[in-house]
Amino acid sequence: MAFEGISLAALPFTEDARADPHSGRASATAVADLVQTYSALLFRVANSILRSPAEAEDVVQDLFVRVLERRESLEAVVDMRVWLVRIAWNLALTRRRRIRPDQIDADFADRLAASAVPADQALAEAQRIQAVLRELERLPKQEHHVLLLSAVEELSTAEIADVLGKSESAVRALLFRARTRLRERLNEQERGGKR
Amino acid sequence: MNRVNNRTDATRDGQAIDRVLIGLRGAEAPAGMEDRVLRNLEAHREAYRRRRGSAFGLSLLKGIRVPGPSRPRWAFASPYIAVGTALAAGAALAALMAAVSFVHSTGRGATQISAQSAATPTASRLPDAPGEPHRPSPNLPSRPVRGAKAASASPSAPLSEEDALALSEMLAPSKPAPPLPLTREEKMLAEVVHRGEPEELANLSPEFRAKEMELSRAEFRDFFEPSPAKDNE
Repeated sequence: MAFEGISLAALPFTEDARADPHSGRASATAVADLVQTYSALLFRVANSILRSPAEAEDVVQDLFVRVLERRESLEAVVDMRVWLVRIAWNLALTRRRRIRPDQIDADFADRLAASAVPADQALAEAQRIQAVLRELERLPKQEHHVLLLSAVEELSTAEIADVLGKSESAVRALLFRARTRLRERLNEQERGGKR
Repeated sequence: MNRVNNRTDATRDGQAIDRVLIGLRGAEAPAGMEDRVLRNLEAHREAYRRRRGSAFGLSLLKGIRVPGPSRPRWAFASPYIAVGTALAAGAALAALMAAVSFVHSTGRGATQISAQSAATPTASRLPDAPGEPHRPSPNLPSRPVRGAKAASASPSAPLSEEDALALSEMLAPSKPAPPLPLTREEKMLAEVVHRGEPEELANLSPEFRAKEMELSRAEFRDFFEPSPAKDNE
């Protein structure tokens, strides 16, 4: 049992699951099981946009409350994983518009730089990472979304395509273009800075 | 030399991009997040139950248990027992008040009342639920219900179905009438006041309006009805 003091067996809908283990509804609506199975993935999806653990956790909480409220529509969900990722993605995008990205990105860059290089190089590395994040935000929307979703390791190209409503080949092309454009822009920026 | 520099920069940029993506990939959920999510669901269930108090709310998340001191089963039912007791007490009080006021108005004894209410079961009919339109009983003729004065005017008359209905309706808790919708003029007035334009607000003053009208009439007269003296000049 993952949660100390919380009985999964007593959580909602698991009685249904025991009554009819072959029922798709039963497995789909076991909210506690969903929390246990997908919360880490959904956290990473939200964090890829928000770059803030606290905000990403809020998204996960909000998501499961919504799932609970819409439990009647869970029967119609074909791929629960993709469905949940899509909700998390949309909630995180909405939240991203409300928060101030600059400060959050600076914190994220500092954390990342501190974990990657020695302290004397951390400042320069943090600035470089901030530049990457800035340019990442300036990418065309679709490329930006594909690149961020590709950062979530658990998601396959097919799943990213499902989440964004695109074909797999389109996702691959967008990913390639995103990386190329990002590299070019960073290069331009550096050359401009040197001049 | 430049080419080498460019290549180095490109490599460094590529590494920076990879570092960002790896950083996002390796993000670990904060410790205890699942626990907090489940607590949040529990809190949501509580809020929902308080808001609705319906059976659906109870079945929605029946059984979520969070860490904390355990409560006996009867403790969960205590709010419902309290509500049920309060409702029953309210109904008993209303019935008592009805009986007392009826005794006062007719001067009859309790035996007669009980006999009468046994003979006329509609006397104990409850008023319609709030929001539900009132439907008169199909057995009753559709005429206006008489008030308390009419009931007390003939103390010796037996309590008919109509009187019982009138009595129960008279004793029913009164609800304030819903606010009437604003008229068009009232809406316009409210709009003007909310906008707070000084000119529009000043126009609401009758003296100011009268002065404005007088001024405009004078202008009209000067323009269209010039005095003969002016023409002669």
